[in-house]
Amino acid sequence: MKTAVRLLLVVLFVAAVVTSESHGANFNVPQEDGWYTWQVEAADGSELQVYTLMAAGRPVKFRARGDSICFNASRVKDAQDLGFVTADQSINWLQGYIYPVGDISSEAILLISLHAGELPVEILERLLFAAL
Amino acid sequence: MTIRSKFIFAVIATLATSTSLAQSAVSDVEDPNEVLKIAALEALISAPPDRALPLVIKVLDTNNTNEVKERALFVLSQIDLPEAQTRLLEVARSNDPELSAEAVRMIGIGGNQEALAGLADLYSSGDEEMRSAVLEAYMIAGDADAVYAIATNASNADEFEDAVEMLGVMGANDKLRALSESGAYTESLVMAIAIAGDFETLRGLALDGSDPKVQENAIEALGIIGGSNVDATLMEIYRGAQTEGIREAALDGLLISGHDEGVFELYKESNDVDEKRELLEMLSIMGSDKMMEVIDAALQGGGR
Repeated sequence: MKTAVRLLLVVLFVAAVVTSESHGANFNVPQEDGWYTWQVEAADGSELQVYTLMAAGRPVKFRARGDSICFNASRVKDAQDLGFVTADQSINWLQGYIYPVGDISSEAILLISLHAGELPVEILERLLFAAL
Repeated sequence: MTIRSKFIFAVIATLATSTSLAQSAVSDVEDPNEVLKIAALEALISAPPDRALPLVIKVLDTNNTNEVKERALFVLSQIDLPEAQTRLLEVARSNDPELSAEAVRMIGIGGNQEALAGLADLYSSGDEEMRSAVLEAYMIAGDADAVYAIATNASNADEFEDAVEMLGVMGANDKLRALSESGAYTESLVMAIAIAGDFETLRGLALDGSDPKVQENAIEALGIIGGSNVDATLMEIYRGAQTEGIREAALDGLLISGHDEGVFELYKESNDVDEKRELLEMLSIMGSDKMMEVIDAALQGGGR
């Protein structure tokens, strides 16, 4: 019985860690001014390098570069590398900047769509039919 | 991923345009929801086709502005699934003039052969705007055969000219040559041959005196092609001109090709005062530096 309880606890712990990672609770881009970059899994299974320029604590530009994609990322230099994060973590951070609607909203949506997983389409669907 | 090389297209279509389009939409469209919808639609190009298709269709079926629906049609054109092409054709055949014409253009962009074949009926039964949209779609898709078929089956001169002009824009030299061999020369056909850059065919028409009107059109149209071969041909035609019409056409051709040195040469060669005056006027119209040489010569009493 004790073994079963331990096993259950282990399963719950692992599930909690996975859930925490997949929902991106721990991923944040530093608020200091400058370029930051991180890697995620792209929709085509390759690696996607995401960039953002922070100014006054908020992102003001989004960029991306992948195997066959380059969204104005060639001009990005000296970005601080934040390492690899899960697609959902990255998406959850990005979608925080869709609202209020402004210049970077469409860039955030575009970048979200390039990430792997189900979440991008779910977000696009919400945006398309939110007002219905 | 089968939405036409998803990421490459995302770069050229979505990445390159969505920011500017969506940003312009931010300034042009007051409704923030609409701005986000347009951005989301464009981003859907990156989604798996089977996931994107029902969403795009739902956008078309629900209460959205035409601007949003037009974007949806574009995304639909990029989805490589039969249902997407079927739906595009349905919209093209609908009674909404704005959306149906846009759907036709999107069929051109999509380039699906079956959908393109479906446009023939729309052309036959459509009004002027629809016929124009169908021609445009064929042009976008590079379907010269379809445009040629329209030209050969044209029921009136306007229809023929529109199709021929499109063939010229498409650079469909073989089709234009085939049309010209049928003997049905029109000014628009000659112009289309020029726009297509078919020097040899045009030169043949320019030197063929069997139909003076066609010949004059061809001589003038040579100027559109331009280049040293054209300039030499026009000079040759001008010097050998037997009629005023041919001479005028050659001069107009030289004007269009911008061959001011040739006009200056003709000016120097001429001993006819009226002709010299006309050539001088032409140099003036062309804004030629050769005018200074003429003025200098006149001031020195050379009179040349």
